[in-house]
Amino acid sequence: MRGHVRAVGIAALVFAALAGWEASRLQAWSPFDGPGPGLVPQVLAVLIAVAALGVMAAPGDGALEGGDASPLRSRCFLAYGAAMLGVALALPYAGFIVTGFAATLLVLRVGEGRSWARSAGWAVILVVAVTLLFGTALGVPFPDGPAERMLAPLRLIRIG
Amino acid sequence: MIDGLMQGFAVLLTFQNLSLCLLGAVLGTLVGVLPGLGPATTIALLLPISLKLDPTGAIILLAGIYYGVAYGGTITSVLMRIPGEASSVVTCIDGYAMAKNGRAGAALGIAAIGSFIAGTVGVLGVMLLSPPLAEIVIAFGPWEYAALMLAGLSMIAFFAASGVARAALMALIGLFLGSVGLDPMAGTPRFTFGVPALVDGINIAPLALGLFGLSELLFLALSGDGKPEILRAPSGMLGFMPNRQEWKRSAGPIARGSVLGFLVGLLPGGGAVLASFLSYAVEKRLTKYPHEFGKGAIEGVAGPESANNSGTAGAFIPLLTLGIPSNAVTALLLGALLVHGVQPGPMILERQPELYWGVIASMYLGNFILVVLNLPFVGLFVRALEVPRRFMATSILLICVIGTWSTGLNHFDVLLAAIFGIVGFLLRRAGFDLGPLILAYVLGPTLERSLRQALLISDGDLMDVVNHPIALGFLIVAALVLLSAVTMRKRPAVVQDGGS
Repeated sequence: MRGHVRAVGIAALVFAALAGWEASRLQAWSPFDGPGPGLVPQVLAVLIAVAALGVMAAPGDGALEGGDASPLRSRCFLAYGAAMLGVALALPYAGFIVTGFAATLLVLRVGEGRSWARSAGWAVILVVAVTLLFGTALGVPFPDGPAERMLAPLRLIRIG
Repeated sequence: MIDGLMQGFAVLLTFQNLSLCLLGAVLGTLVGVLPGLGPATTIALLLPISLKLDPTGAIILLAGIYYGVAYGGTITSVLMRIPGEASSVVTCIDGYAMAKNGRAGAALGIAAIGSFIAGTVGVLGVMLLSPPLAEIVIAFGPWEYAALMLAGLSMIAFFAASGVARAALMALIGLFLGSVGLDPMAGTPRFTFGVPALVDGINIAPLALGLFGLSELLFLALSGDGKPEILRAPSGMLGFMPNRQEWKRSAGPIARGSVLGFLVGLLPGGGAVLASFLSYAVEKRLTKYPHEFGKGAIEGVAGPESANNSGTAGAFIPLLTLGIPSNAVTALLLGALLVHGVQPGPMILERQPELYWGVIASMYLGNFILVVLNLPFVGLFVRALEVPRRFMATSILLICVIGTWSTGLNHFDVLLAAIFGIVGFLLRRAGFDLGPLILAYVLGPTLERSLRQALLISDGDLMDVVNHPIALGFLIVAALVLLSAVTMRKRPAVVQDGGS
């Protein structure tokens, strides 16, 4: 626990240094316009650094939320994490329907250890349900992708 | 006021708003039942859907979830000793002990009835106190607003469960994230790094969905998929009725819990969680049966359950009249209103009376729906716990992705949400409370604008604040709160004393 808290403190210090450096390029005070765009961010960067030092000085005790086991040794955790990042990165190229299906399939097959058939079945049900709810019922424009381009002429969804 | 309430009921009594009120209450109860999936996560998930509704409908739906959660959380606390929601933690102690003694029905019954009474008291308080408070706040200038925001932020540090330094760090990072984008006064881009999507600032959807939705997904992935042991709930309505002695012992705690909860709910940083803990401590001190506490004292259920419901209602006063959220959930509600172009604050009663009174009316009806729903359908709600992780987690993933995309229609937001998901997971794992971060993020732009306006008017003279007694008062309160937060941190002792 203490190690994790101190790691967060160090990350916050780095964040404060970068934020302070970027904020220092903004004008903090102008003789004509008074307080400038850099004033508050500069003050915040200093305060973040102070709070980070405070956290590192007194990290406290307690158990890690989610248990002591390393998440990186959990196949399920890695599958969900990879699916999450994968969807975010692939969305501009493959659209929502294809990436959503692939991510669900990956998570269920690799992470949850379900059979290919069951994984594909649930992936289809889920993607269809989300598409119908958001795309058809609520009219949310979908990101451009091959499946979206096929469905758009049917007026089931529109591309944003 | 009566006219206003009538107007509120006229707004509420449309098919759409009634359905949204019912849906919010049911979803809130379900969320309360499911451990882990809290109101902040659910409101974050529904934020994009709410954008398709008018502002009144959206806030009726989201508010229903907020107060419904307090009811639902009781069910798992009593039947499984697992708090479905933080405000029901304290109910685990005596509620579960009552269930083990064969009084599960009485515990659930008194919790539902106490919650209904307290919820009604809370709504009455909101109705009576908001208009005069709004009239006072209307005279506030930039110094008063800036000092009020600082006082609110200082209270976060006091009440945050994770400790002063950690809460302060989260709040400061939240304030910083709120400063990304065009500077509110000069229009200068800040921290955009050439990314066009950041010019308008970090949208609340990727931040909230990442920190609360996707981080929750990672915790679900880390947890086991086992089924918990559930004690049996009564099958008939009569089984939920407390006996005469239990009624007698519960009357005082319900009354005290209702008032205490409401007052605590008013405080920035307060709300339902703190209200329930304080009520438990008060009842434990006042009871004639102290030896029964921890072994099934009905006062330990009636008081906290009443307090957490009226605390939920009380939190709407600072939200609606000052535009200051009390906790992460009301911060998200504020975010939803801002996305709809509604600026909560003292003018809301004049500019959007239909929204204000519509929400009040929906809270009356929502409380009634919840008490009717809770008792006969306890068994049904408990079955929600049997939904396997794989179905829930994959649904959260896809809803978060399309929800984030739908609010800004850009891919960068989805990437940002994934990054915030990982950051939220790491912070929560190390014991950091994300509430102060989202709260400060929402308050940040108003704080900066007020502070800079005040400095501009006073020609940069910080000491000008002494010419504004109200602002000075807020600053003194903030300083005192921070001082006491550093010197006394005794809240967890309440549970440890009463527990096990």
